[in-house]
Amino acid sequence: MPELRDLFDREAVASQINPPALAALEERARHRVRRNRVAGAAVIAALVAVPLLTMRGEDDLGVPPPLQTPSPSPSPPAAPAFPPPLRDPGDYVVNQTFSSLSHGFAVYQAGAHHLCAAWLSTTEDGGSTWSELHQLPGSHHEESTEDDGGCYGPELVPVAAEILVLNQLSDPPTSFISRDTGQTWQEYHPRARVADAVPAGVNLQTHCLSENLCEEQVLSWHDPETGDIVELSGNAPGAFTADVRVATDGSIWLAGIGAQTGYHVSVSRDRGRSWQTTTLGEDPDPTDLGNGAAFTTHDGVTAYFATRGSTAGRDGSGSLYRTVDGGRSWQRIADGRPVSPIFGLWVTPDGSLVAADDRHGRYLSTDQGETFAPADLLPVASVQPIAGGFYGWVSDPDHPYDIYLSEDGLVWRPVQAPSR
Amino acid sequence: VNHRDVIQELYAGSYRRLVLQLYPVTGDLGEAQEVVQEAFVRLLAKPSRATSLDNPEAWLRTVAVNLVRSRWRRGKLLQRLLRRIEAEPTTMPGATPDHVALMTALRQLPMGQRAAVALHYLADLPIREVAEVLEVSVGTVKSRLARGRVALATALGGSADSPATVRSTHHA
Repeated sequence: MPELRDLFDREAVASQINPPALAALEERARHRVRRNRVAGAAVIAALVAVPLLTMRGEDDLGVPPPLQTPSPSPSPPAAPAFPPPLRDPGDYVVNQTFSSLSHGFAVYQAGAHHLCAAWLSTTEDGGSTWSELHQLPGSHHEESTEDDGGCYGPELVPVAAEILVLNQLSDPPTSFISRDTGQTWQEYHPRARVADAVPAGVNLQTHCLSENLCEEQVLSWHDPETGDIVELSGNAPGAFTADVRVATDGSIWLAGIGAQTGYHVSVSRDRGRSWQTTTLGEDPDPTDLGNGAAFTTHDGVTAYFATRGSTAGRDGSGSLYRTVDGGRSWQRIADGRPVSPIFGLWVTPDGSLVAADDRHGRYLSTDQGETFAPADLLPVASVQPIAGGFYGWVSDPDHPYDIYLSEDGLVWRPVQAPSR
Repeated sequence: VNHRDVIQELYAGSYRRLVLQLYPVTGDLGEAQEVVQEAFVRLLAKPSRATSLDNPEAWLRTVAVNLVRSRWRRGKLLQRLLRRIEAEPTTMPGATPDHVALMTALRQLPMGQRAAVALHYLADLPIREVAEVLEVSVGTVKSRLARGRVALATALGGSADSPATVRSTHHA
């Protein structure tokens, strides 16, 4: 066999390497510091987007509490006791998410003292109070080198009311299921099966087709009864899925990006049995597929897709597209928009469109994206639909809160992280 | 000490080299760039680390390799459940046929063997350093290299015991 290094074409590979501007990475780092410092509303389950199919009015996960105008100093909730041997909240990375306006989950992962262990605290009242900490099963106390990725954080997937699935990425990986909101857990071996349509009331996920590459993803969900993984058989044309949304009319939307396919949007109006796909005429930066777009729809008729162009929009080449006919045709709009690049994009139940840039700017459009006005009082920069409303998180590191909940996408209530 | 200046210099000097080293580990250039970028993001999140570490580039490499392994474990969990088998072609514009064959063969190796082979044979790390990066013993690395060599020889149509291959293993 010839010398391996002689087979490796360094020159060809090096010619394809395009380092992004260091400033772009610094911006990501600032967001990271903010999220980790308190309770980054980052997704607990790393299985990409987990929007709920349960739509407003169908909330079987709990009745949301009444929302209030953001208050500068809400009463601090009862903080859970920190587990030994760590007593300082700063010893933990806290990842927090909500599956509805009432039900939230905070995973505490030991992040500073070489412990590969994690604990769960839950709330059933929108973050006003949090439960005592319960150690998650499969936590291992072996040492790891500091912050080098050696501790594999658990993936917590809210499946349905009171049902959680936990994937521990130890070697070998193990799965656990809880039917009492994390009070008790059972190790289980989920089976995999295929379905030709998406049932109502499940949390959609996307996962990668390839074991090592993530250039193509498919829709899947956990069976709320058994915890089994169900994969949609007739998936949309494959690509990296930037976003998944379920509209109030039941239509399912996938906003995709692919190095070969470019930006595209697929919509299904028969629960995933068939898809209509439209390609938007723009080439993404292949080195930044995971950060390259934002998508939103509410009613399934009007939808918006914001691309960020090359190098995460640093060259200002991102575009905003709109459909008003359910995805059959798309128009590029708002060339003079005040935000570029757009990092957060959401449409409210009343049809207003909110765009957020990565420099703490918020803009509101009430004419379907034709014009925008500054809306700096909106506290959040990124928004995820949940049962009964939205949760969003903040990008401004000087803002006193990190996570907000909202019924309508416009009036937001701050959530006190349990570690404070 | 201006940490940012240190990181900027490190970025300018190390980014391409790290991507070149991680590419054979991931089998995909885009993913290699993603994990190297993520490693720099972690460094930028705590910039004082840039001056406190003895070898920041080695730290970045370790972080990037661990990110690849973490991604692979996540994928492995789903693949185990869904019983999928990887069958992706490899592409690199302008690369030699030998390079394409090598990358295709590397991607067929189990993750542990692939990482060891890539870091030792292609990134020129001593076996001891590969063991540190992968958090395994030197013996395990040698075992993975031996098994990886046999598998690659089969895939590339040669002998695993050829002098050329053995020559690059003795600087552990």
